Amino acid sequence: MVLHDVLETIQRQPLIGYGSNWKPASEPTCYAALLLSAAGEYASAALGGEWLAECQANDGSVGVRREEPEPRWPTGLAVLTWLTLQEHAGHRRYAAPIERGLRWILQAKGKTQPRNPQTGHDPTLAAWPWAEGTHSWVEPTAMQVLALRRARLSDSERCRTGIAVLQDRQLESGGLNYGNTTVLGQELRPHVVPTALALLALAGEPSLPRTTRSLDYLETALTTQPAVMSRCLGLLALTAHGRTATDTQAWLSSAFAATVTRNDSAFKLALIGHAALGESSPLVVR
Amino acid sequence: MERNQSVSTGGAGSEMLLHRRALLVGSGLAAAGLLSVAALREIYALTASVFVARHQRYDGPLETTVRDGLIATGLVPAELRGKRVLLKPNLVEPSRLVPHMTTHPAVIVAVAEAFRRWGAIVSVGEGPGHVRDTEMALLESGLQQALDSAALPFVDLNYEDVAWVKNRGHASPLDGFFFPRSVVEADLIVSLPKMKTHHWVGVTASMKNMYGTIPGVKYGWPKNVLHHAGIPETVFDINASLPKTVAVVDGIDCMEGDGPIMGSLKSMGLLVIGTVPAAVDATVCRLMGLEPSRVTYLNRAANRLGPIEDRRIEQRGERWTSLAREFQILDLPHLTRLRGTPGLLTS
Repeated sequence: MVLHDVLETIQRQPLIGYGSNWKPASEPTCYAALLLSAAGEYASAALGGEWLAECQANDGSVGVRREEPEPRWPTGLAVLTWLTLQEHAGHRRYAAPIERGLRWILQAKGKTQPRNPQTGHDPTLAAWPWAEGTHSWVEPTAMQVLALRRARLSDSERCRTGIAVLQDRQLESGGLNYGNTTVLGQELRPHVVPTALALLALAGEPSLPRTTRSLDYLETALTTQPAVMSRCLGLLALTAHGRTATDTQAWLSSAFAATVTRNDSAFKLALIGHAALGESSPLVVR
Repeated sequence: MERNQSVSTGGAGSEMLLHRRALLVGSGLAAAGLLSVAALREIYALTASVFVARHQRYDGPLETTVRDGLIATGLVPAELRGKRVLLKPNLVEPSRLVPHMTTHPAVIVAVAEAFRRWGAIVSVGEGPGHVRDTEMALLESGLQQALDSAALPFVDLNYEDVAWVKNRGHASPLDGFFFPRSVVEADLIVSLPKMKTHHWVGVTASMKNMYGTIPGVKYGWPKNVLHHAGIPETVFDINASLPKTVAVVDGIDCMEGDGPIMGSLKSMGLLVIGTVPAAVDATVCRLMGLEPSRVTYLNRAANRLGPIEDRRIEQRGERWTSLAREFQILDLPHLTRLRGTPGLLTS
């Protein structure tokens, strides 16, 4: 029921921004197109796919909004979207954008630094940054890894490095934050969104003890987490690792109603839709 | 600017110098006509006023204190009618387990009510530096409930549409900044930080808090573009590029030790208020037992964004000397060098 209502809203305007009535942005539009595609609404999903293709720069990257080609971190989500559309719709309309997008992902790298006793993670590993010329962080890395895995490039050197970074950035006690484990000897706090995205990207990888602890953290954190982005991505990550949360349907119904009442962004509705899809969400890549 | 011209500036050389200085210190507020004649005179005299209030509580009459503090430091309430005022609290990485990390909702609402009473159109905006889920940040900090109760609109500065603003500071290699539209279009920004130690730059107060006006969607989480361009340099540049800013520091429950995230609670019961953020932050340093001139971004700001020398800051309300209490800092050379002169503190 929730999924039906979400789809009805998003189909009316599949190009969505971060805020209600804000101009379309790449990340929310990817989530919308992925949802519509998984639900079999190919015509609406293709509107998102086409818009993203129009946003693609000559170097293959996709910026945060059409008028803003930089930074380029949404490229992984765009490639994931085109791959999903191609797979579901059964045609090769997006072959060229996919190829160019993958080429950009495979060459893009975060800035490395020598090992430093002040920080706990391994800064010599080059995954993906939010913005060019900066260090690699958890969420952009997870997005590019998801695209590479969907493109069956899991064994590529870049994908393996991305996975190594996501494993390395997990806190000893479980969970991830934006990407620092310890600073000046103190372990930092985990947060749901980076933990969820990292675990989505790590689904299908052999489970390390630290990954199990991250899943445990997520399971506990979600019991008290009412924020839509955190809860929905967290639920998907648990699903991707074969874990289930209780009362999900009831929560999704109330979250949908609250989002509509507050006239919040359709981005939140798309996230609710993905959580309602569960295993069938294209964000679950095993 | 008319009132500017009535201020006596001395000889031709010093006049040129003062005009050049006025481009940065308080220039935005002065141009907007938001400063009193006394405050304009302070700008030209390279001085500033900072208001310190003690015995403050989150359930106390904070709005009165805020109004008194802003008027005492030169804001002209009559000029605020119909003006767009953006309140910028610090919600860097909220956790309901660590309320002393983020600006208390009671302080935010008190400041909002003060400006509303003066006829301003008030909104609250923040771009949390470490977390992408702003709804979560609002819930964890308790701010969402306060916003709902006070019917205050919120702008997510991490994702809002942006406008390019030239870097007026030139300390970092960045040519300019993408700022959210609400920041660029505000007639006045109120930096509403928490008084905290910071394990890299020593202190975070009203100037460092302005990092949260930088959109994560363009600069990342953390806003790593700024880090790579130099933290002190970009703190200076952002503040130089947003000159229409005043400060109200939540120094009631503060953070010491491994701030700005992992530190411990230190209760001070203070509000620190002023129309020159650099002078406010210098006073905050003194209250924490740290020497402002050794804080790199404040040293850079000295006499360009505002005075930081004690003799150039007129204390309104309470004198900092009777309220200062040493904040714990990590035992690391880049932090211990920030300690003020031994024996200067009175408690």
